[in-house]
Amino acid sequence: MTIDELVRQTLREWSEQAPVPAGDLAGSVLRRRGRTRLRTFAVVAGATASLVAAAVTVPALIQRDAPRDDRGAITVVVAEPDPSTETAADPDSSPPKTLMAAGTTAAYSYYTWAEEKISEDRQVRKMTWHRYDRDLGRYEPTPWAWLDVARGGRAAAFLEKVPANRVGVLTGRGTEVRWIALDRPAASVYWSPDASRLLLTNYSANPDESYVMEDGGRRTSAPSRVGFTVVDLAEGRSTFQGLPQHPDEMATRNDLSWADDGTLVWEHSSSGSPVKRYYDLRGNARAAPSKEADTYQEAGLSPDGRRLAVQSPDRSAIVGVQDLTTGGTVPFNSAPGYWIEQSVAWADDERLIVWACETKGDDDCVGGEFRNRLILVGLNGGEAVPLSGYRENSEVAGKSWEPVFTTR
Amino acid sequence: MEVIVDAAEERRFREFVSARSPALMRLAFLLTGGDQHAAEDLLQTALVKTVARWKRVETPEAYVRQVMYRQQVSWWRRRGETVVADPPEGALEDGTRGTDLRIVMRGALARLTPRQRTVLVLRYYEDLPEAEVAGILGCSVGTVRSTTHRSLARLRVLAPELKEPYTIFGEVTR
Repeated sequence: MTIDELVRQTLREWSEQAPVPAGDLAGSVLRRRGRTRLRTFAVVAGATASLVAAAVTVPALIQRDAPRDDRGAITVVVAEPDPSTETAADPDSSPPKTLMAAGTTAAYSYYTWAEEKISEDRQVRKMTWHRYDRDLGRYEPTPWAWLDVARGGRAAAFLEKVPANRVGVLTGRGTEVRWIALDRPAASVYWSPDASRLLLTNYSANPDESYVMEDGGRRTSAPSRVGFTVVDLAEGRSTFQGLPQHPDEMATRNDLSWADDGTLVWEHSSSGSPVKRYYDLRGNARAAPSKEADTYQEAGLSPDGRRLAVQSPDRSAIVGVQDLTTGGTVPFNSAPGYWIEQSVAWADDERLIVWACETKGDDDCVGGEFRNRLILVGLNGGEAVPLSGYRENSEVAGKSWEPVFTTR
Repeated sequence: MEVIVDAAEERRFREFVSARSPALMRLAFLLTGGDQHAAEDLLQTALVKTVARWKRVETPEAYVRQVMYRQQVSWWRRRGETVVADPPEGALEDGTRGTDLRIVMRGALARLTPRQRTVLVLRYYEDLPEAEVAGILGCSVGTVRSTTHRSLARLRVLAPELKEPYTIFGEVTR
């Protein structure tokens, strides 16, 4: 017998020793995919900065790569002097009608989506945004194609269409809108953590357009991202940086988001580890700050920076909580009657807002893993507080909605 | 990115995983040198990539296998050429015939570098032609041949219990 024949026989025999994949492998993959997909599509929860009464000035005319222009500066209201930390919930409604908030975070907006056919073989994914109206005490639909509410819940930035050649800023005082013209069309906008700047991702085509698939799926077009624009409201400066889509990324919408400290921006990386790619504001690749790049979990760092929401280290849970001072990670599934599927935001240093499905007895997820609601859970257990009703199916347009949490 | 957005496609994916995951796990197990946890990670990562392109993938199993080969290539490039797996328990026990011989061989395979092991898995378990292996590894056919040759020679060094003068491509190795 030749040695290669021995190798062949050994490999065949050895392969039979491989364990059969344990548990619901397909379900795990779909849940991981869901998180990945959400990241390419969803808005990231906002700042973790400390709460202070703050204001930024917006020059009347934003100039592109030009010196400051102070003409007619106005004030953007960012946060209350003494914001509430009480829990607000609408556990019987899906989507919610009244405010969802806990600790230092609140969902001042949420969105739904639908595919609209625009020609025989083309469709576009349209988002419908709802914003919390303080005066009415409920969420109200907006006409905008994209919305991001600044921390504090008063000021907002929006796009009228996707992509748009200008961005609107609601100052938080009355209904006045400041318009900022863009050199290149943008399809998303995010407030910086300190609410002094806007980050827009620029595309040469509509990133939400795709081919119609006969079976209801979607096949997207070629990536069209060209870069990003940072609008510095205080300085009255708008700066574009070229940053085409990373060649590994297949999604046509691949927006850039602010890193927690506001000095870097990041994009989702679907190649696995690390899960985010970071760039400075000039578009140069940069190392990831602290641990925040290492997690798929939306909640990320706790407000005090001591804990990180991560994947569970074992199969007793999906979410884990890592103590950054010790490095230890524990599975997080301390919500009786629920199976925690994904972390969304930290309410404070000790409580997380998560998506969870309902469990009864030994049943996994009553109604399936995609029927889930937002709940508030303490790290040390205790009763979970439902913040919303159940989404009928979190994966399906018309049956789902996505909240956007930001600092109160 | 093409994603599953309807229940029928999701069901099709679940059926595929249910039917083919044992076979795919066997490949992952060999590629990782018998490391169960690494094999599970490798397979799950490949399935996540596959589900993201599910609608365009005509032959899912072939696609998952390709992703695993490439992922393994990419991982070993990042890690460098290090041995990552310990030999299975009892792998170096005495015994040179039949089953014992193959257990010794497992221990030696587990101690190859990931690159060496992957080349052997692709050639002798997956039965891929050299040109296809070259395409997966991003190297020439000549490099595939020399790596295969060196990997087999390395097995002899790692497992001196293989006392027979086994031949490599017709050459006696000692």
